[in-house]
Amino acid sequence: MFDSEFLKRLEYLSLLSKRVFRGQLLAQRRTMQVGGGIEFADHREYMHGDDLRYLDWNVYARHGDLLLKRFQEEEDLHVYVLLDGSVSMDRADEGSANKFLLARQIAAAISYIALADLDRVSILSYDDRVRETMPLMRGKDNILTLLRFLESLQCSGQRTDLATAVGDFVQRASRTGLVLVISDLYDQAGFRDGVDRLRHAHFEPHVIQIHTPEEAEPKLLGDVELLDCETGIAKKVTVTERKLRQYRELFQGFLGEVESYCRSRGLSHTRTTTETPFDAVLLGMMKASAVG
Amino acid sequence: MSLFSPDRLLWLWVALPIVGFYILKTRLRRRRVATLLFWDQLFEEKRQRSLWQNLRHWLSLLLQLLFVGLLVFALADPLWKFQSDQGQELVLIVDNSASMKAMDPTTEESRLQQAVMRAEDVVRSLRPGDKAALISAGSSVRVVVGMTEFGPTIEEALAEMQATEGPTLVPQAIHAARRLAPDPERRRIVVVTDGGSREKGGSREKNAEGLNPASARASEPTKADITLSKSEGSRDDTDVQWVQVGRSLPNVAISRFQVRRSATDPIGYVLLIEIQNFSDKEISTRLTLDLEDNLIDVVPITLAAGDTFRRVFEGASQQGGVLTGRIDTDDGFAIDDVARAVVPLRPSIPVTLVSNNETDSFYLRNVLESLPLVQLTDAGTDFDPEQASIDSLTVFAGVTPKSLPPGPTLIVGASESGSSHDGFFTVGPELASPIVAKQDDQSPLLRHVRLQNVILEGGRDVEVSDSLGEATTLLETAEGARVLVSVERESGRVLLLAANLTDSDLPLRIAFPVMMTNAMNWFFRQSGDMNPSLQTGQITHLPWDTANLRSDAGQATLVDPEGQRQLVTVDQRRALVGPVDQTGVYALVSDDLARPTDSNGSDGNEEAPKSAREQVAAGAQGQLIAVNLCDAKESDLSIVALDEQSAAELPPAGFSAWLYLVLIGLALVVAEWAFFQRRVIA
Repeated sequence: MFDSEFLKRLEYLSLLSKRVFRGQLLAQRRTMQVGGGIEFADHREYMHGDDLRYLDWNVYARHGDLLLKRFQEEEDLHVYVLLDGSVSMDRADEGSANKFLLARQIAAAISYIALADLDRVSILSYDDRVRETMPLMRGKDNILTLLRFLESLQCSGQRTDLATAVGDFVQRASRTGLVLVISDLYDQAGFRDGVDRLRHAHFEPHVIQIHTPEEAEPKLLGDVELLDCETGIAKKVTVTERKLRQYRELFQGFLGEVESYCRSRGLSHTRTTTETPFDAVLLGMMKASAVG
Repeated sequence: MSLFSPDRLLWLWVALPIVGFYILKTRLRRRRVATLLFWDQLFEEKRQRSLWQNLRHWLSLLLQLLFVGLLVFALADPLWKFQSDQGQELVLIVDNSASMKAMDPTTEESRLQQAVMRAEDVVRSLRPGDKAALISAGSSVRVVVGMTEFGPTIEEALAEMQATEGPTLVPQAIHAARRLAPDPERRRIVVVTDGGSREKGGSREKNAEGLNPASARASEPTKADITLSKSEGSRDDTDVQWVQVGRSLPNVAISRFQVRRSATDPIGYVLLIEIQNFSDKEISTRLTLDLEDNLIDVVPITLAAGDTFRRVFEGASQQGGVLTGRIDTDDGFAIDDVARAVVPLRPSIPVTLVSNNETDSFYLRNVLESLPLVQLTDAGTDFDPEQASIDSLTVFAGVTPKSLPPGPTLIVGASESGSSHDGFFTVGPELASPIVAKQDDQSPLLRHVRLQNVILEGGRDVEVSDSLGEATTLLETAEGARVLVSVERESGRVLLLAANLTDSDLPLRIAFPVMMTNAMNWFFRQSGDMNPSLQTGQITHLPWDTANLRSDAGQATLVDPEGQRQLVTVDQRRALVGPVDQTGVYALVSDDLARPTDSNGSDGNEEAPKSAREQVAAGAQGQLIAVNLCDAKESDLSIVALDEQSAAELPPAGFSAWLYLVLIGLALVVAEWAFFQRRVIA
């Protein structure tokens, strides 16, 4: 799955991200936590108990004010990838990639870039709960481990429950950071709860939505029995042209709903189909980030 | 409805595999989808239609089975109710009478065109083994196409059928149809008509009850009042079915047009005209009369609905000619808007009276002087037969001529035999009380004359020599004595009355001047006071009086208004004319004087045919005959709807039942495909 060609493309994307975004991506984004770094940030009033080593004696000598020097603390960015491993992701149209494969490729690419920037990366696969977890790792040396982990992932489960999976994740995560949710968002209970929980836990969610072209434009007509590949529930329907038109309207409404949700909450959102290669998806994300 | 091939219903087994395939088809295809989220939303709202969702499959199967059923039913060749599974003998009677020329202003179609279309529908319903014949029933009954199994022949004949200007003869046509198809089991007679065959009957009270919208008509009973004849072609005839065409139309018609010479005025004539309004509203029109294209009179006429205008017009013309009456209407039926009549010629009659004394010629002189147009010349005994004119009548009163003059000759009271060198007649001895016992009623000389039991004093038996001409005994006594004899002679007719007028009862009788008037017409071959107008379709004997004494003169030629000729039979100086199916002025002309014709009566050369009037004007010996429609039944264009019992059942648009079944089946297939296979409609 992740052959040498894939790795070359990852390297290319990594280089491209540094050149194009000049450190605006991932680890280059400094935290706003003020602490014991070396880069001066500002002053504040001295308070009892503060470390006297950080008192600005020069200011005190000149003006007699007790001001404490503050420095911006540098720390590693934690990148979490929440990968939808439900059965609904194991779908592929004829002539296009499998949704889960594309999701894993995107996860691998982002992880590679993050590892290359010395950020910490963790990958979690979920369906109705977190199934597989790759712990936080740092450094480009771990890329093969990460790829092997991704290769080993399988779709499973009876349903998709992002909220439960996020609950598990939040409890496990040692630090907040960037959370990339890669999913088709076919969550029976709705995807909003899960994303909201991430926001409430001070994570920075980024939603990458994947669907197949046929999910947007089904090629069904006539009497069919539809079988939900996750729940196994069957439904006998007669699909007519009019019904197809209504389905397309519903699906477009769903896509629009996801987009407006993310926009209203200041979340970044990327939508792609399985017809789009993973590197094109990444480039699109980079461009969107640069514009934003 | 019966089936022609019921054994083919076995093909219904085809329905079994259809049901099988349907069961296989209804096992739904299973499709795995990533989620049912959207499908659930889509079909959640339509839960109330689940019953329809279940039924629609069965409806689809039902439509398919219905399609198979229709096809197999069509294969079994169902028959319409009026069709028989045995070969039928269909006799199609198409009314092509004058009223069928009426044009429907909305469709611009004549009734005959409509009738032909309906008849073609009937013909198209013929099945293998059926026979059909076509009879036209206008003016004269004519078998247009005899019994044939080849329908297109009848369709071709229908396409070429023309409307006549004659009356409807449907009852006669039905009679002919029954002779044509004698088997009552197989016979089926379909009459396509506008109703002109119905007989007058009923009463105006019926109209008052609202049976007919045109009930306001006041005078004459019309077609609206009529009921079907109970005789031939009545509604009781189970083998006769009626197809009615046309719709009620207003019409104003000349229903009577006859002219005769005036009884008082020698050159006068009297015209009787009758105009009927067959519409439901009052009309105003104008009657124009002209004689030989010279305007005689213009009369404005206002007629209430159903009213009749009847009037006698008087005029004067010695020359006579064709008198034409015309009414100005725009009623779509022009035939009865024009009528014609022939006013007989009234030439002056030169008469030379030869007598010994006034006593012998007293009565004769007085009666001759009393006849109009007679120009009497008294020659006394000083008369030279050699100088007599061929156009002048010579009357011998009590004188027996030594030789007969040329031209018409009347010899009254001859008492001695004719001249021996001529030997043209001999007179027997005087009879005692000769009573007339026998008279020739067919002779025009004795028209309106009855002389039986009249005593002709001085009567003698007259024997005419064959060398003189063909003699006809007109009056014969009880003893067998021929007292009045007419002789056809090449140079002029001769009438011999061997009686003494002075002592006889004859001059005192009304019959005498009548007989003398007849004699004047006979001598000069005139038809008399009246030359009656004929009606189209009428068969009649007309007096045929020409100087042609050839042995083959048993024929005359009737020239129609277009100049086409046809031979008519002449028997005992009466020509059998008719039925003619066209209005206008005909001419009855001498066969040998008419232009050379072949045996069919058609032209023998390339010249254009001359009209009848032109023929007579060109000098052909004969007489004009006016032919008019003058038929209230034909002119009354109102339609009385047929009841269901007598109306013929026709196939819709005239095709067999199987075709409609196939079409319905195809429609079902298309509907099934559109509703269930194409699935564009939920």
